[in-house]
Amino acid sequence: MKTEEQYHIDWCLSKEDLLSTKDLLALNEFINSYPAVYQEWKSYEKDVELLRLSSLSFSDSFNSKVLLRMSKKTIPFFDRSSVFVASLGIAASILLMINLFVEQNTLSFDALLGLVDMDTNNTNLLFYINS
Amino acid sequence: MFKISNLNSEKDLVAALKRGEERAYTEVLSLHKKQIANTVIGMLGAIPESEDVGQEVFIRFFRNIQNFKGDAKISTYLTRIAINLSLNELARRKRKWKLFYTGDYLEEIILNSTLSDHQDQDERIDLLRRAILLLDPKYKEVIVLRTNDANSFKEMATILKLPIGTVLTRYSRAQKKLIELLNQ
Repeated sequence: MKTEEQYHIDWCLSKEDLLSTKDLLALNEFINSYPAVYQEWKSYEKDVELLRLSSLSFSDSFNSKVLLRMSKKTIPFFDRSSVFVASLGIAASILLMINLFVEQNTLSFDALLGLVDMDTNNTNLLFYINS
Repeated sequence: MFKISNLNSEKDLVAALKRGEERAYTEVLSLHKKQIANTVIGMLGAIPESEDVGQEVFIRFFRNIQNFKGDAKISTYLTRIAINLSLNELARRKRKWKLFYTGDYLEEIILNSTLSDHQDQDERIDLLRRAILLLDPKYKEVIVLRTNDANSFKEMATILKLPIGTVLTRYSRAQKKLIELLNQ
């Protein structure tokens, strides 16, 4: 024996033609026997229909906000000009490193900072470049 | 940079989206914005966060378009994202409320609302929308999806990745709970 909830489910299915003939006959029998329950189901559906009538919406600027966020995403972080500038900077720093190593005649970390022969007569980090 | 092409079918639309055409983005927004608004605002209420979640739905879809196989309709895919993000937002909100607020603001609104026999249609809709917000998320999602006029029970089952029997059981119980809330 089906429960009231199962008949309610069958009634929902019947509205989308998803119920078998046998179950449909049983449902009709139930509805005829319990008209008050049927009225209750109809009142539930009335509320759903009412909600369908009302439409919810986002603000007018919704589309533009989404498109703005998408266009921001499509701009690459490294464009051609910034890659060119970054490459020049890296090349210049490599040349500076080579210059420091050659002038100080060593490959140490101190040489990278220009500190190898630093003393009271030589306190300038760029001494080797200037000399 | 965005390009322009003819968009005659959903397949063309997806292809244009994959090429990053702005017209395709606009087309998806105009076709599905209403449905996503109904889903997200229905789930979360008319609050500023709903608009943010709505934007995030489309952004996620657009950014993951290269993985879209086309085995489901765009509307199904978008609604699934909308439901998932709304559930995440509800969970986040629940954690936040547990920390800062002990009462239930929405429940107070419902209980303080009077259900008269001569209720205006708009008042009834407003009350129903508020009552939906009080439902358990698993009941809320089926009611919200059902109130989106395009969704059949089969489509709802596809969106929620649940058997149709489970969807119908939840729908039946959700309707009962909704009336119980309104009659409190």
